[in-house]
Amino acid sequence: MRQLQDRLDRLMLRLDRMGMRCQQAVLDAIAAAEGRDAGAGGLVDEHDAEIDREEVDVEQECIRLLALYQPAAVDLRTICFAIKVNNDLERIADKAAGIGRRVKHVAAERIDLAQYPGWTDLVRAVAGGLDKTLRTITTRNLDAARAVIASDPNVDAACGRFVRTALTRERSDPAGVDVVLTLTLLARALERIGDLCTNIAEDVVFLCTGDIVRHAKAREEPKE
Amino acid sequence: MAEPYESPAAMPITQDKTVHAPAPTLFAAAGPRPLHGEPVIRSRDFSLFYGQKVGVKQITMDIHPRSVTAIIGPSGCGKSTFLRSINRMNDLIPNVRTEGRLEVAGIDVNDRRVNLPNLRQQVGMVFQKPNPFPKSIYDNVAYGRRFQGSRHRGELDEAVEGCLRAAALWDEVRDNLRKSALALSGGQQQRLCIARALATQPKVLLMDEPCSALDPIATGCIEELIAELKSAYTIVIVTHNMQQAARVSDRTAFFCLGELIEYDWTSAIFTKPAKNQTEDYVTGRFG
Repeated sequence: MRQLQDRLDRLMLRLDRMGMRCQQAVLDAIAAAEGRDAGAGGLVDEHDAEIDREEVDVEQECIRLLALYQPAAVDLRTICFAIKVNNDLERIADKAAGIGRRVKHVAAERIDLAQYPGWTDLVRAVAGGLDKTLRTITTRNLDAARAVIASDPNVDAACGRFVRTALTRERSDPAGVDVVLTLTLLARALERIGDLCTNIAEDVVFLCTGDIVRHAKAREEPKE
Repeated sequence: MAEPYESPAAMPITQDKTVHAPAPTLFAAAGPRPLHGEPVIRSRDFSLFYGQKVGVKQITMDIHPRSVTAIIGPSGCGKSTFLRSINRMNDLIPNVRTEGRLEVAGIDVNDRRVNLPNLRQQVGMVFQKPNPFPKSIYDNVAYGRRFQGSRHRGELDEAVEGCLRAAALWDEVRDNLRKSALALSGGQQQRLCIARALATQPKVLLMDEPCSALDPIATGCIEELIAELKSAYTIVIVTHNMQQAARVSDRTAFFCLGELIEYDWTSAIFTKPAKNQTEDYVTGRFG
């Protein structure tokens, strides 16, 4: 089955490249938002279509491999992994595009994100988590994947702190509603990127061990 | 100790004690799948030698009733040898000797006191190539019952119909029971052989690559039949078709060079085997 192995290797390479494009999209969107550069934000949104096309191509390749080779064991897990991670990466790119579209509001409302306490922590948590997650795809490092899963509450907490701070600061200003809305939507998009990184890390665990660690608590509870 | 096969009824089979095995992680949503009762086939350090050559080496495994167990492995790995040991078909080969213990329903099949015809009635076998007798469809199925002493016409008719129905062949042959079995298609012949094996009311059904000579439609029929039969019989199937093993069996044993490498739930073997050798085989990297 050397042919299948070659195709699986190419599939993982495509996934890796797609991950890098998504990471670039997220970083560009954040930079555009911080720099209030609506043009750069718009570009992120435009480039999302390319990632969408790549997602469809990768999925088609996965379906072809399933149909042609009827894989088992690690090959089957690799293809299932690719299907799921492909989808999650595309959604990360969607979130980046969403941030990119929102940059025009950031610019219009003259929001200086760096001024808001918690923004830097949130960005650092999300961008750092995304970087670590993408590395686990290529290295298949189980410990690193588990560390990403364990760090998800940190992203949620950073998001919560940022939104609360923004609400407190803008409460006194009636015109601040739009600002709070924009900040909340940016934070939510970043938080979702963090969640999707956790999903990918969970899929890395599945790829390495065959164990589904998603919703572990819910599955432990007896059904009513 | 139970008496060796004095009569088919002497075999104490299933106590309905259900064993719940842990569900494989990938299929956890389906919940634990029960294995019914005590193992009907129990192999303990069982080895078989063809003269000096090892056929199978120290096989230890349990096969539970009302389940399908697939045996997979590369050619010459001993899977058919092990299958044929269960009803002592290897006795037909010169210089065969065995070591260890291989029990069917608590009785060591290699015990010299075992009544071989009775053993083979209790442990039916279906071969790679359909091998109906050159007789009518009716006579093929009635053969085992007649051998057991049944002469009453009504009883035979009932048994033939029951077995042909169980083998999903009745609707196709009900109006041609006197027709030669050799006139049936390959798939029908194989189902007839299954019906013939069922006629002696076996506890265990051994299948040695039962679909390898059949087209995909006939193969599908046999696979559906296996799924239906497992509610009443213990089925052990040897197959080279790994997708088939994955589709039809509850548990899978992987043999290599006469040894049992891994024996686990089929879903575990085909999604996350514990041994690298198994993984290499099921992914086609070896064998």
